[in-house]
Amino acid sequence: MPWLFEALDPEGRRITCDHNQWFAHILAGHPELKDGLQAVKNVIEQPLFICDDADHEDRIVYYQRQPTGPLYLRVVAKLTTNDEGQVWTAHLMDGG
Amino acid sequence: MAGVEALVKTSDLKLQRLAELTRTKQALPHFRYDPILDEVIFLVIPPGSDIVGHYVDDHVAVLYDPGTMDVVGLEVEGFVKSFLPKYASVSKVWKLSDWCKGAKDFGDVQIKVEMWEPVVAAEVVRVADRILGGPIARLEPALA
Repeated sequence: MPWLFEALDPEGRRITCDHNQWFAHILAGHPELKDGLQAVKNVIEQPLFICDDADHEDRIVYYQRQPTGPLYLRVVAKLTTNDEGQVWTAHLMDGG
Repeated sequence: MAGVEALVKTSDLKLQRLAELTRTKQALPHFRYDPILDEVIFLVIPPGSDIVGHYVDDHVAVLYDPGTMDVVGLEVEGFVKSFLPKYASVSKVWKLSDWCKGAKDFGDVQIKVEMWEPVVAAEVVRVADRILGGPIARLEPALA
């Protein structure tokens, strides 16, 4: 299976999570997300809100509040077409 | 982060660990530049603990332990594309070629890199400190 998961966001985009991107880039920088794959998928499928990325026209950012503490899980997806993209990075943040 | 409700105030964060790092210039437990993400992360604790990002500008987030609220590192997004062009002092120390002059072999380069990482980190901390309004400098007079 080429992807760790495939998710459909509320605007109909198909977002995939590539094995290499997850392990070699996201977890390498944020190992605290080692059990967070399902949470990342949930953020894409049921975000609190979606924003454009100010620096990159081809990226969109999903946010969802987390049940533990004053936290958001922020997931950035890089779009390859208008309807498809891949998880680019993810991390916990507090909105500050 | 524009449009995102801030759940934690910057003034709630503690900066003692970061100030200690800038004072001692010790080797970092974790320093990483990812060229694919164009992202720098450094931590004064071993990676793997829970950390939360608190953005202090569009590209810089301080990373803190949510249990203690102590800042344990920094993350810079768009490091080469956006951050370096804004901050000449970091750009200057980022140029590894300058550090590796006179290196004879891989061992020499490795030693140079180990010396170079905390210098880059300290420079990024100084920039973050300016963005934050100088709390680290106030904690650590040697930086002022």
